[in-house]
Amino acid sequence: MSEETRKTTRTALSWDQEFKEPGVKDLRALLLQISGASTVGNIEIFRLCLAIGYESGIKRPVPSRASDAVRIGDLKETDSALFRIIAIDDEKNGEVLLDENKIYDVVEQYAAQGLMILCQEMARQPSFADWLNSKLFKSLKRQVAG
Amino acid sequence: MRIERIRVENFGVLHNIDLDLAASNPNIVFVNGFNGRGKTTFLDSIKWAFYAEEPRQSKFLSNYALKNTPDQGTIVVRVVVSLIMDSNGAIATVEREQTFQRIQDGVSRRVGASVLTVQTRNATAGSLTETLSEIDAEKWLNHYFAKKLMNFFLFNGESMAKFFDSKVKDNIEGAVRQIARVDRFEDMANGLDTIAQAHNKKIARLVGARTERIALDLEDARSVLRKLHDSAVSDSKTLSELREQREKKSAILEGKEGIEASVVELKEVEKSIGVFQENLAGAQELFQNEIMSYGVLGILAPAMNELFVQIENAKKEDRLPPPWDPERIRALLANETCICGAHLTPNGEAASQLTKLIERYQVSSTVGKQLSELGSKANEVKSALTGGWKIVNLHNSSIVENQRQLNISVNRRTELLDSISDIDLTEVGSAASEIKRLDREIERLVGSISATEVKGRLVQGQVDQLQRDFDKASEGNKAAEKLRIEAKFAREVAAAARSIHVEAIKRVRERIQDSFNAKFGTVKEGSFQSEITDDFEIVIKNEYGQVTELSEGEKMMQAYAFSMALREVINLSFPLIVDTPFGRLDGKNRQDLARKIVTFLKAQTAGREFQAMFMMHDLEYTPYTKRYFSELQPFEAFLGSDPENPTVRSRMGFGIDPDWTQVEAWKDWSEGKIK
Repeated sequence: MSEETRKTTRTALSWDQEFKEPGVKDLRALLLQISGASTVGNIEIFRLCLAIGYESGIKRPVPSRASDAVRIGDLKETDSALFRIIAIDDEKNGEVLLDENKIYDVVEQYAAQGLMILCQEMARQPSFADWLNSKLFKSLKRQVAG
Repeated sequence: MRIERIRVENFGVLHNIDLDLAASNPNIVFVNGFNGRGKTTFLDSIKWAFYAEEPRQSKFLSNYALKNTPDQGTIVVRVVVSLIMDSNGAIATVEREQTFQRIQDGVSRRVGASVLTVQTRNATAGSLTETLSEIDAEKWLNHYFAKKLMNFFLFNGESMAKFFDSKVKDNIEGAVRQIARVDRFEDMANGLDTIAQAHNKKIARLVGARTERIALDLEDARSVLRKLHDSAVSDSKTLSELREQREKKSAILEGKEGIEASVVELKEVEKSIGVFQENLAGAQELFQNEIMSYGVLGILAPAMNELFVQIENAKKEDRLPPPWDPERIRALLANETCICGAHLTPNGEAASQLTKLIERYQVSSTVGKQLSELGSKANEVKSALTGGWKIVNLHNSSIVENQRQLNISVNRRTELLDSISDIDLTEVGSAASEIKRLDREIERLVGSISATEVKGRLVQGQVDQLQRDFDKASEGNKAAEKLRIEAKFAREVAAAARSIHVEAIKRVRERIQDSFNAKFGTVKEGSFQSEITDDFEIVIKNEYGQVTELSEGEKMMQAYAFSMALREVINLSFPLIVDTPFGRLDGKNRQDLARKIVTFLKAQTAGREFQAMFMMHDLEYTPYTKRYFSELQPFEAFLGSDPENPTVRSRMGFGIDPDWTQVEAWKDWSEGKIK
């Protein structure tokens, strides 16, 4: 009987190993340059990958699971909520909330797709900063201002 | 330090000039003359001797000498300055010469580069004891007459009033860096880094292959970091040089008549460009701070639509809010209590059906609770998005507006520079084109420095991580442990050496500020307080802490006082040499400034080793100003017309130029009507 949500035994989310090196490193370097901040954490990079992957509507299977991206225990409430909202949208069924593993699989696969897209764009765009800023700005505008 | 003698040969109108001060050894020297007699050329000749700053070709090689030399004959332009270096009587002679060959009348060519020699001699020995080679001579000059400080040693009164408006900031910074010996600390830090690196190699050998690999990575990363640092230092130096060149080119434009309006507007436009660039950078930074979080939320927000669909469905199916509490019903079942009026047998068919029903509703209830929570969270996110959009859009509008204004200003600057370069003045045209090129180069360098800084931060992060890995890997080995402590100490000292110049610069700035306050206080009326800001701007405030606007005369005295404060702090008392010390001040202000200068010079000469040389024209040095200055007992010399060749040669004499006594007030003075 499924009285409670099935908790995951995983401790962290993983990058897609195929694009992790040097994709994540390059992406971090570029985000540091764009933002002028002294650090850019894994969660910021993961969130960006997730958004880009989700926007593409394609999930990329993550075959070998490593715990190297974001520690689940460190997730903030908003991130956790966003992950669950994305899983619901992906499954079109609220009962996905009863299975944490499923939720993390979904976001991990979207993030893998996002990382792949970002790696391609880093290589292709003359100015990655302009491309990214424009994409984020347009999405925000579309969402709020219509 | 005092000037004992200056000899000038074939330099512009100065055919053969000898200002010998050895016998009288005066504190104050006046070199007077009508306009065009070579006062500025005299200053230029000193500038050339010490700083290799050449005037324009037409003011460099003497026309007289060129005209009177046969074709293929050579002419040597030479300036020799003898200095008494200290109170012990040590003497130095700086001599620079440049050879020209006459091709034909009015045409010459340079023969080789200018040659500099410096001879030093201890007066008590009575003879030349050391003759320095050319390279050493450059070193000697760089030590005593660093080029960065040129503008603080040799003044032009006409530009003194705006001395602190433009180029001085960079110069002060350069001077302070030099005084604080920033480069020496940098060398020390590099040396210590090398020691730390050698220790790391030893540790790696002691501990093993893995550590050795980390050590190699660490060495690579440090090497990248050093290169980035060197590149940033070199770029900054180049940037400073380019800015200096640009100032000089701007000065050429400022000096041309007929284009003043364009030049004034150009200055305003350049100021605006600076403001818009600053605003743009600020707006971009603010935009960047917000867009990453709100933009990502914006992309993810459509996912919330499905959440709200699920919530609506749950409401329709009476699952939300959860219909009843499953735990309570399960408890009733366990206690075999009927809740529906029918008799329920534990584990009977009816109970089993009811249990399944409960399970289904429990799922609905658990999901419903989460959906309800997520709905609230989603609404929070939506509301945050609305607020975030307002902020991001505001910053974006600011970027767009500043970029638009910047484009307008940059286009206007190009138009102005184009219009100036259209003027049929080769020098002005080339200066304007050069400014455009320098602007592009400066912009490129600013970008490059900023990118290097970002890369530097990244590599520093890698270095720190590798160092931690290295330290961890080498734990447990006693010999390695000892070396590790030593290497750590070396690195810490290196870091301290790198940061110490920040403190050193601060101290030097404070010393200059204190000295400046004391000196400016002798001539500034009313209470005031000066402050040299972190950006090396000098701010004068009144007793209420408000920024005070200085009069033209006060601005000039500010330049004098600052220059003297700098001499005091660097402990090099090069004479104060000023061309047209009264600049373009009118009669009343001139008298006021004369009083101030006298007060100032009296304070400087009281019991101290100090020499000042002023070059004045007949409207500056009048019988009336002479009265103010008489208490200083100045040594008077003049540059007058050479009777043999009055148009192309000037001669030097002592006292008041006899030509002066033929006109106006000086005539009255010579006739005893003015005492």
